[in-house]
Amino acid sequence: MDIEFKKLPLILKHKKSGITDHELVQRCIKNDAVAQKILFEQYAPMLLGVSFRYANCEAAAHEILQIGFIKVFNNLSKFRFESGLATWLTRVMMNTALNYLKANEKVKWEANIETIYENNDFVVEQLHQIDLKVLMDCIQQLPTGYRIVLNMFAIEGYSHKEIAEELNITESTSRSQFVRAKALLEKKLLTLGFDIKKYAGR
Amino acid sequence: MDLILKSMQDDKFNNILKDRAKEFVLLPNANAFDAILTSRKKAKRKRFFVFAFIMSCSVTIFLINSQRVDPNNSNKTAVLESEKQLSDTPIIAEKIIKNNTDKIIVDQSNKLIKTTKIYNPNGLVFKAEILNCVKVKQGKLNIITSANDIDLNKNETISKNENFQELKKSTVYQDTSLFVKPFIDIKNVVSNLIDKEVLVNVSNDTIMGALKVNNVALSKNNYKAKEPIHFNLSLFNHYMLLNNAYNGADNNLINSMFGLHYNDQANQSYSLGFLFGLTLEKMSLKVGFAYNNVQFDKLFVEPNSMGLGANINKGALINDFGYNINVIDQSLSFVEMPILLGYTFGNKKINYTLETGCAFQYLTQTNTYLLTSDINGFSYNTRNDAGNNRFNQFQIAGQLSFLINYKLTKHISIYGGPLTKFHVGQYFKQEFTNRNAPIYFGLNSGINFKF
Repeated sequence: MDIEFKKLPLILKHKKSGITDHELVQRCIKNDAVAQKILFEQYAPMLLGVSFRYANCEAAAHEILQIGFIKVFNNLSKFRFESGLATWLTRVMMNTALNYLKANEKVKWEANIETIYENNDFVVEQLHQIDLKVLMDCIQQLPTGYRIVLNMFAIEGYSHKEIAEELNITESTSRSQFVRAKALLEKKLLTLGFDIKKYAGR
Repeated sequence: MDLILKSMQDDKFNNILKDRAKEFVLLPNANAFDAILTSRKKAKRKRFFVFAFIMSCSVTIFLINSQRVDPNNSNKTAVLESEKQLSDTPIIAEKIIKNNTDKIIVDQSNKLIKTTKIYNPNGLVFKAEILNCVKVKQGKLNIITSANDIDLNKNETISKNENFQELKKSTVYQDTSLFVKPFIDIKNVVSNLIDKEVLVNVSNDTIMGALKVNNVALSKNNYKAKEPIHFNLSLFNHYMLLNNAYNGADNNLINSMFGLHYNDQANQSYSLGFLFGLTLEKMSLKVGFAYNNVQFDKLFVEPNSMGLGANINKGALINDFGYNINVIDQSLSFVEMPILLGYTFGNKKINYTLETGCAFQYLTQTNTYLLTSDINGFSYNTRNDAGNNRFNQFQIAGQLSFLINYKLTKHISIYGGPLTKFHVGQYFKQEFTNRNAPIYFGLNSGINFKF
């Protein structure tokens, strides 16, 4: 199962069709298969990207996407347009991924923050240059606990307090997980840095 | 300072990672959407079946419980009549005549209103089957419930429930029914009250019979206790008394001069087996296994001389004319699977069941006993020729029986009654199509365990 990276999702195509999110949601609620397909084609690439970051492998990412979309279609009537549709969908996908990981993986939460060597300048440099797919692969290879906290804190923008409440852990554990995740990611990127030219700019 | 710097670096890291992550999109599999739709349909179907199952269970339980009466529980007892109904003008009995066994109530024109058996030697008059009926007033409602025990003395009756708590205490009046006594203030007002109330009887935890108001029977379903499904095990025995397997046409052959002369007579048949079944209300469905044995005689005379018009009877080995007479006794063994549907009348200690159905039979064995008589004397041979006989291997028999059940205990009853069993289709093989399929008349008896 090859995952194909594509920079141009189908959003543009559907923007052309002139269907607004509101109309799309209303039609999906009425079980309009065409609208559901449009919604899927419009948001699935972005949401698969989300699930890919949380999952530990490609197959799991696809499974999470499928489960997530079933939830989306079943619960779309609960969407009140208080936030953007993409935000709501991302939230649903994230929750689906968290539930999936809780059910399928044993997460180790380590609370101790040890002194970890960090070279942030180098990491930031790497983040700018490295191929996106490789970066995501690196994130995916992180241990589950690290990966979850890194995603929630760094990418989704949750605070450690919110993460702690969501995952039923302490704030310090969340911080610890993030520091470790970052350090491990840095280590992975450093390993790649020996051959940075190979990945950069792709 | 270090912390501030570190925090800034963290923010920078987060922002860059966030921006890059948002750029990251992947194309799902080509069939992903179809898979989602399929999964939704399956889930929807599953939800529908779960919903339908729960609903059907709920409806079934509701229907059963809505009319179910547990006489020992006042919350579930049957509400018989409102106060208004009970205050209807009673029929006045003009005269009550008593003898040793009966109480006879007549109206003013000397017309018989009711005859009631006298049950109690102390002079109390009540119908035996309503002995355990007690009417308890709860608020505005009069409720019929059952008493587990009733103490009788000369002055009062004390009805008690299963925990021996007092349900009701009533003063005993001569010439009145124990049951209707609370309504009787005027002497001789008996009969119609009995009609109105006493016809609802409680026996063996079940309210039976109909309630009448002014001699109009109310719907039984309103007051009848609904029984839950019971499981039954029956052990039974069929013994055949009569049958028609004798084919009269063969008499001619016996008396003729040529050809093979034979006659068939099923002279005995019995079945032993067991049945498992379900009983709901008055209907029952039973399936089981049985061993069935049929004994056939085949008598034939070998035409070795003229003058065969002898009077040959089955089993009578007459050899006065110098020709051979052979008698073959065939014992057929079947394994049969009866499937029976029954309907029971009455709900008393003795009740009646009409049972019909069919039995699928498989011929497993034919034991043949050949008794030959010739001039030189008699010889007796036995052989087994299950695969070489005149009967089809598979048989189907219809069955109809009328059973009288007698309850020994709440869970055990014995039964017996007439039975007819008739074979459907070809009983004999094709070369013997002139034979009638046998119809048996016999006795059906057994013991039934109800769980």
